[in-house]
Amino acid sequence: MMDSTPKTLIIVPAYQEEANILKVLEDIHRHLPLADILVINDGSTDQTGSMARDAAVKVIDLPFNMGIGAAVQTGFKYAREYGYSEAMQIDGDYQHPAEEGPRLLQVLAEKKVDLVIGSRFIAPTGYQATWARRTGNRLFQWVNALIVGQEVIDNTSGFRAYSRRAIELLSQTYLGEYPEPESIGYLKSRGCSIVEIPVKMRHRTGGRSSITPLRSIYYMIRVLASILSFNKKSRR
Amino acid sequence: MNFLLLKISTFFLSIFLLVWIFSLVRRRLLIEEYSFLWICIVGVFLVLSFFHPIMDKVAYWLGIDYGPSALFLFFNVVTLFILIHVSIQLSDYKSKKRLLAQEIALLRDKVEELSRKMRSHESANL
Repeated sequence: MMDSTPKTLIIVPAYQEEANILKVLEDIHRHLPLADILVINDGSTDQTGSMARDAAVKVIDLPFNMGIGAAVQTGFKYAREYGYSEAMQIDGDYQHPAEEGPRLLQVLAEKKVDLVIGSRFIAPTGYQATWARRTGNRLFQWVNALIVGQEVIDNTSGFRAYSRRAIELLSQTYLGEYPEPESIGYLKSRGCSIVEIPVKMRHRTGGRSSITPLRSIYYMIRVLASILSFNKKSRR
Repeated sequence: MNFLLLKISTFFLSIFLLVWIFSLVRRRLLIEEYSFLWICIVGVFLVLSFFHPIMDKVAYWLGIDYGPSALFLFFNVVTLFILIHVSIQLSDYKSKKRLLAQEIALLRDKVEELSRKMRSHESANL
């Protein structure tokens, strides 16, 4: 571990992803060979954790399922403690293509920003979200634009690169169970800079999304509540 | 009507609640902070159901025609506040639980890492 070169941690939150986790890890190894990988096994009851360990990857097991927000935050805490200068979230469901990862990190370094979001909607990239997701996204766009003063097209994308400063902020602030839209407002309120670049995403091939159409209204209300409260949440 | 049956039934209900609360506290299933709250509520319940003029007066001030309706309103409002209070506490416990779980996960990782290092150190010394 050298201090001069940027130390990159790839945070892979995974819950019941035994069908995808090896593909995800292989994908990251191929396209981001220099980065350290940390799988956060979010209380899976299947083989997710042991499969990742067998693949010689660092795994942290949460004692029970806590949701993506707590899982990713555990990754930020790890990154902060072990002195990583940048982090990237790549979900364990094989939707985020690691080949786009170097580009996210490059933008993070070149533009000296704190958050780079891989966006599905910014340019035609072939990704087709469900209507519920598109509607929700439009709503978040509107709310975030209103509160944050910056238009972000793909608020729910978890495919992101974070600076050291963002790592430190997010390791100390818990951003609900649906952290993606909320973190934009939060980081912005702390003076962080954000850019969004278009990426191609895959459709999921196994496991299931945490957001089903039926639950999306519930999801939207909760996210709106949490976005509205972000400036008060400076506690852990 | 002198509400005799109502008075008798609320009396026995209140006695039952008091005995229950005390036994919960004695068995340490309810911490005394909450027992105080519940005892107060039972007290108010008793007073209001036995002294109708108080209830009727309160109902009159609130513009409620029927006395016992005021009692229902009172208990609904109290229940609402208790529920909100419990939600706040639950939120607090949830966030503390999350912190503890994350801490445990990170510490467990550190322990495993250290014991691995110790083992390799021991085997190198042998």
